[in-house]
Amino acid sequence: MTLSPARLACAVVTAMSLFWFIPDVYRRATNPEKVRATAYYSAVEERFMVRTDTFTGAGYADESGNPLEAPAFKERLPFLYFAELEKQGRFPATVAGVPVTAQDARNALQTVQLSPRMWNLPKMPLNVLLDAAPAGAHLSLPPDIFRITDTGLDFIRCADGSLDTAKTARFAEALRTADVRFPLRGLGSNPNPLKPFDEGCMLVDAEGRVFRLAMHKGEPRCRATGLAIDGEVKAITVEEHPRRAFVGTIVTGDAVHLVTYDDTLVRLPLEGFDAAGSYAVLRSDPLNVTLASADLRDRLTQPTRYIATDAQYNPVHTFDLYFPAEARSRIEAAQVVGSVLSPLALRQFAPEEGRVLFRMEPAASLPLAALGCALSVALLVLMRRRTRTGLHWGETLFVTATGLPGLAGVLVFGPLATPETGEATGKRLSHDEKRPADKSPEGLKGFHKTGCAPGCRGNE
Amino acid sequence: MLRALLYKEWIKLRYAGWLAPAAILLGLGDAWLKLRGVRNNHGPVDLWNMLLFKQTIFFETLLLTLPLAGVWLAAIQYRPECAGRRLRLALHLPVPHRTALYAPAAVGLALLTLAGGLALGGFALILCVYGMPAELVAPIVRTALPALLAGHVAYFATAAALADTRMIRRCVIGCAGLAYALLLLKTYGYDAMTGSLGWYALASLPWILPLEAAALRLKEGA
Repeated sequence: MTLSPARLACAVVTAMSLFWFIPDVYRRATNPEKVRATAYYSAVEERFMVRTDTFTGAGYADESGNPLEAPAFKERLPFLYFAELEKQGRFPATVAGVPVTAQDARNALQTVQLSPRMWNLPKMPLNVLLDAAPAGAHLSLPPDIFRITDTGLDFIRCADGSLDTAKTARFAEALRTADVRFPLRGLGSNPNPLKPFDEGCMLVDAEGRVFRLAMHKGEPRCRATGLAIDGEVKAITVEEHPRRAFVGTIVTGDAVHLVTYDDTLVRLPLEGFDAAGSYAVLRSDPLNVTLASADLRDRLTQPTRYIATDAQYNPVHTFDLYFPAEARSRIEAAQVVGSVLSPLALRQFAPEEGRVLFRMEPAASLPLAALGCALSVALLVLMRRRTRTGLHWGETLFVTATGLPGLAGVLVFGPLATPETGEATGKRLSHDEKRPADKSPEGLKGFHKTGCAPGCRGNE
Repeated sequence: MLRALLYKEWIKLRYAGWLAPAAILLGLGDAWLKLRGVRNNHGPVDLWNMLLFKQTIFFETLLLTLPLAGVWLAAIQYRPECAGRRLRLALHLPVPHRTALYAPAAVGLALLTLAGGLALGGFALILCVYGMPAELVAPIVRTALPALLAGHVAYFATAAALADTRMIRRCVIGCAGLAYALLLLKTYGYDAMTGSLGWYALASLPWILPLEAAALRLKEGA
């Protein structure tokens, strides 16, 4: 008995399909209702408040877990619920001793979200530069895009794809005057024309120096900020916000930096930030800035670290928010039980990745996955005994490694081992090796009739 | 003998075989019309920004026609070959059984690859006609490569399902082929399978053999 590669291939493709299908269907069938917990810094209490949202309602508590009623929770967060409190006439005159109005809270609210998908996506070296001082009342998309090359920026007209040589030359001159060295390490802008104003692009040149590039009435304006960045630049964002606290962010492998309007580089106090899988959120209010960061690769066990800072980004309070325990235990239990079904799972998407992956992940519980594989092997042995069919060690090994998906493949396409004949192995046999029963035209070539009746002319 | 086998494929493909490239051309035409519609209704600036920042997949029809073309080509090549256990006769031709079995596949896959290649080339040409730079054209065209691989998998899955004699095996191999095609057709913006397409191609390699498994079973009378 030898293992037939063709039959094994059938079992392999079946198992591969089921490595995707079984875990995917199981996850979708057992996923509990989505739960989202978020912490907000209360300047009133000088501690974090936690809001837990489900589709059936919201739960409110302080950072120690003491439950709160919705009105009490909202009173502790006047900068978040300013509109509601203002409407009800309950917005406080002072917060932490500082006189504030609902309008101050409205103006100061700025949220910046940085997701690893932003820099883990394959990027095209193309971008747009809006006119920051348009003739009209509103910003609009320019009639061209620019291509970032190793030596400069090429402006290409969208109408016909031709190179705008005059504009390219003007910008090349401006970049040369500002002493920008190519190739660039990074460039970022905000191409949304609905923003209130435009700050152009921020770029990091080959030497790590930070520049700002903008266009005013079609003319380039490029200037060095005097700042420098070490290491690989993962992403650059430009955040135009009326509070004008910072121009944008520069993300490196282990840090998020803010570039302020007075050309200062502020490294945000995000301990443990890893651009490979961490996201970062910045939320501001009139008195504080709240930073949040978590590793998207392990949302269940790793906490989201919340850091409240003062206006100069000095930490004043820190809080670790874990995934809600009840939902976490339900998800983990479902994952553990699901391990019996398949020892491996083919994963195409991950929250930290912007690409389609080919990731074979082991089951959540290896003992249960091993149990599933052992049960599959036992089932295979029983089936073979019942049908009185031989079991090849290769089949046992295959099912041991692949569990239920492999068993399905072996049961449908098995036995994977066949008798050692030319037909089974796919080899052509010589005439000497032909079986007596072979009645094929090739086999009949060697036929010699003996013992003929009188008058018979044999195989003439 | 090989010439005779290839001539047989020509006989099978000479009329119905054109439907697959025609469907791919229709997909290409659909993509062009959509591009043209956005350009004429919203202007070239919006079109370029849609492609650059939203990364809209406007060529779903083209992506879908590639695996469907694989199914169609395999069906018209292997249906007459396999109906009524006729494949058994083909396996007794005086050529190695793999030649008898895979000569149609070579012809069908060559046609599919050629049609797919022409479609991708035509697609790139359409984008270039609209003046788009190579940096934008290349990722958009590469987005269709997994669909072409799905076409090849669909071809082998259909051929194996037709060659098999038992309904359960036909259904399972068909479902496995569908699962592969669905995996390969998933996308997330342009060129989303960068880095993983090689692994998907490697995982698709075993699809060459199920056809042989089905044929050998038939030959053995299983």
